[in-house]
Amino acid sequence: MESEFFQCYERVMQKNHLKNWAWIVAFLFVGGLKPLFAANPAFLIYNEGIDITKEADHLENSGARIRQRIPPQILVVDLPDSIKPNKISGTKSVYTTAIPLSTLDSLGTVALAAGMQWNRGMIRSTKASGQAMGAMRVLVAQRSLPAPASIALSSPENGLIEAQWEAVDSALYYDVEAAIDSNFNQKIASTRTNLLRVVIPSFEGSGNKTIFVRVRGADSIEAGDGTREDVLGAWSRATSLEIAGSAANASLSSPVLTSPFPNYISEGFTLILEWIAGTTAQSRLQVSRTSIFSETIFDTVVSGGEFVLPSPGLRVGDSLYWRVKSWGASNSAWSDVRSFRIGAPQNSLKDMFVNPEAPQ
Amino acid sequence: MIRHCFIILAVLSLGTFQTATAGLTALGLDKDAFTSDFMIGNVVVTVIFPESSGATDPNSETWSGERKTQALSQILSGLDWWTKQNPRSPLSFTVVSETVATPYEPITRPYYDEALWIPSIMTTLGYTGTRFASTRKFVNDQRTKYKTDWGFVIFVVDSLNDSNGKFADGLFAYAYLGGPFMVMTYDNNGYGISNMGVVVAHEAGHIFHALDQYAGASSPNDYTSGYFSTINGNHAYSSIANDPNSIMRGGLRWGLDNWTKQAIGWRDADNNNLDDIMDQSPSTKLNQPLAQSGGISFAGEASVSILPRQGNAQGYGLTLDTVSKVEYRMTNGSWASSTATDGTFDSAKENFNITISAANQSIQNVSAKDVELRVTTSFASKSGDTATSSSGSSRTTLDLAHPFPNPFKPNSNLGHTTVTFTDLSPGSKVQIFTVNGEPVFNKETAPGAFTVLWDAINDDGKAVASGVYYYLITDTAGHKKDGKVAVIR
Repeated sequence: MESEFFQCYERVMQKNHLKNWAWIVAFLFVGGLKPLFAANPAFLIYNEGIDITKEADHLENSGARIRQRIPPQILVVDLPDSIKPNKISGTKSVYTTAIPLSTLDSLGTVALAAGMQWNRGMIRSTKASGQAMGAMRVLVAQRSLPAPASIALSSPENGLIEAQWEAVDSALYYDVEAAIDSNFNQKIASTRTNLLRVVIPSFEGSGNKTIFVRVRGADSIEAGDGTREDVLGAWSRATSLEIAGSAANASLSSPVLTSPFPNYISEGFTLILEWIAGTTAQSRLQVSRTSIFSETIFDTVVSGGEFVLPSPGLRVGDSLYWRVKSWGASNSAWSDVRSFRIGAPQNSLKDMFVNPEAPQ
Repeated sequence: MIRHCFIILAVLSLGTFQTATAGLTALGLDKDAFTSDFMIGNVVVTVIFPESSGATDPNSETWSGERKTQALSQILSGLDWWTKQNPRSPLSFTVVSETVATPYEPITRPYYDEALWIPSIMTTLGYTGTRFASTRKFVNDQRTKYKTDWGFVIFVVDSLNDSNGKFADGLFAYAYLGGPFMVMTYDNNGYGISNMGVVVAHEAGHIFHALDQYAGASSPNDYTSGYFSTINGNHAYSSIANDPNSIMRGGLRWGLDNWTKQAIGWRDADNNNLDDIMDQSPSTKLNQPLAQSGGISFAGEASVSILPRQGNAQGYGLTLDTVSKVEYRMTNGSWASSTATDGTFDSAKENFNITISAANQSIQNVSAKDVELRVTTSFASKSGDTATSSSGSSRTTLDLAHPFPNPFKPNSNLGHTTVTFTDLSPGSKVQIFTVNGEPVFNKETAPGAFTVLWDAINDDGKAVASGVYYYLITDTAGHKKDGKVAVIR
C-alpha cells in the first residue's frame, strides 16, 4: 500500500533515481502505513539563483504555510491539498520523506542541519505501528547515519583495546562493541561514547586472542510525546586485533565507590561518577540498565577515579547501576553496585535579562 | 457624510496564511528598536558560532563541522516547534549561520564578559557600539537583507572541553527580553546537546517577551511583559497558574500556557480566529470628486489600524497588516476595484484612485457620500458581503480577567501604586465591595481599553483599610466574574 509518506518527488536528481526507488521499495516492505500528514509538509530545494523569499511569498499567497527558510535554496513548508509539491516551479528537488543528507552537503551547514531536523520530523510524524516504526527508524538512520569509514585499533597495554574512528555526520554518540568472533555473538564489551576514541576492556583470561571491534553512530530524536528515541546508524565493518587478556587476580584490591551516593537522583544529565581506585592505575567501569549488568550502556577502561557520564542517549527517568574493578593485565573483583536515576533538569539559574538598552 | 464600509476579506484558516514578509509598520515607534516584539510573521535568526583566535585568551575550544550541524539541527527543532503552536497567524524562521573569530574564549569567562566578546564579533562583522547596539544594527540589516519582519541572533558558545559546560559564573543559556540576542552553550549544562532544542525554544520565548515561570525565576507572577503587558500568570508560585507543562517553566516541557501566548502577542479576544494585533479595522478617506472627461474621479486613502502597544496613551504600536485591496461601488451597485496610486496595494497606508465613467449612470450629482468602500487587508477576516462597518476587538469571555498585584501592598515600595484589573473587554465594569457589601469602587474601562486601575481609594476619596474586598466584573454581554482582592497597608 502506498501512502503519502512514500511520495518522493525527484525531478532533477535523476542520478539518485535508483537509490530513491530502493528507498521507496524498502518503505513499502515495512508496510501497513497510513497517510501521515495532516498538513502535507514538504522540503523544497530550489534551483540556484531562485529568490526563495519571493517563492515563499508566492506559496503563502496560495495557502501554504512556511515553517523555515534556509537561504539560499531551501524552504520547509506545509502545503494545502491544492498544491502538488511536484508542480512547484523553480524547485530542484521536493521531498515528502527522508532526505539523503549527502544531497545537502553542498548547500552548507544549515542546509545539512535542516535535513537532519526534517528527517527527524518525518519519523516523529509517522502514525506507523511500533514494529514498522522501528524498521523505518533504522532505514532512516542508515540513510542519515552512515557507518564509520574505518576503525583503528591498538592495545596501549595488556587487557586494553583503544579504538578510534572518523566522525559520522549527525551522530550524537557512538556504540562500540568488541567480541571474540567476527559475527559478534560472543561479546566481551559493549559501550557508548560521545567521543571519537574509547578504551574498552579486552577479554577476561590469560593468553592472546583475536578481538573484533565495530562502531556505529547514533542519534537521539524526540518521539513527539516528550520522550526520546535512539536512531541507530549502520555498523562499521569489523576490525580485528590480537591482544592479551586480563587475568583475574583475587589479591588485587577493588575500587571503592564514592560519588554519587546510592540511589542519587540527578538534576539533568550532568553526572560524574567517582571512586577511589584500587591496585591498578586503570579501572574498568560498567553502567547498566539492570542490576545484574545484563544491559550495559557503558563498559570502558578509564584512568584515575572519575568518569563524566556522556549525556546523549540518556533520558529523564533512566535508572542505572554502576560498578568498577581494577583493570590491566590482571583485574580485581567488582566493587559494590550503586544505582542512580536521571532526574529532570532544573532551570534554577537566571536565564532571562532585561536589555538595558531596550525601547520602553 | 462619507460612508466607510469595511468588509474585510481574507482567508485565514488552519494551514492557510497570508503573506507576512517585511510588512512591519510602526506608528509613533522606532521600528528598528523593536526587533522581536510579537511572534507573528517571518523572523531571521542568525546563528553565530564564536571561534576563539587565541589572541587574548588561550584557545581551549574549536568548533567542528559536525558539532555545528548538531547545534543547528537542535536550533531548527526548537524554532520549528514554535511554528506549529499558533494556528491563527503565520510564523516562519529564516535561519542562517556564521562562524566568527574573537580574541576571547567565551566559555572560560563569566557571562557578563559578553560585553567584550560580542562587540569583538560585531566589529568583525562591521558593526560597532555596545553589544546591544551593535547586535541590533546587525539584526536590522539582516531583516532588510532577508526581507523579514523580525530578527535576533543566537550566539552558540563552544563548551565541549569545558569542565562543566557552563560559563565561569554558572550560566549556560540566557536571553534578553525582546532581543536582540540569546546566548547558548554547546553542552547546555544538564540538558546536553540532544536537548538543546527545548532550551532554544524556551529562550526564543524570552526573545519575544515571554517571562520565566519556574520556581526561583526572577520574574514573579505580578511582572508584566509583551505587547499586551501580560502578567506572568503561570509562574510556579502564581495562585492562578494552571499549566505546569509550559515551555517557560523550564525543563523538558513542550507545552504552552495562555499567559505565555499572550505575552508573545498571541491573543484573540473576540474568538474570531484572528490575533488581536492584526485584527483591527482599516480606515479610509475619500475626497470629493473631480470631474474629468468621460466621468469623475475620486482620490482616497486606506490605512490599516494599529492596536496600541501596552495601552500606549498616544495609540502608538506595531502591525504587520497591509492594505491589499480597495473596492468601491455606488449604492447597491457591483463592487469594482480601485487602483493603487503607486501601482500595488502592499503597504499599511495606500492612496488609491476611483474613476466612474459617465456611461455608468447619471453622475452629475455624485459625491463621496454616494460611494461605498470596502478594504481588504492581508490579515483581517471576511465579515460578509453586506456593507457593514466592523469594529475593533471585543472580548467575549472574562476567563483571563483578574486583578494584580493581589494582595496589593500600596506602602511596600515594590513599585505598584494601583491594582490593575486586566484582560477585560472594552466596556467592562469593575465594582468593588467591602465584605459587608458596601460599594467602594465602580468604574468602566476607557473606550477600547482592556484594563481598569484601582488605587485602593473608595468613592469618597479616602484610602480603604487593609482587608479583603470583593470584586465583580461585568462585561457588555452580561458575563460576570467575581473574586477577592486583598489590600495590605
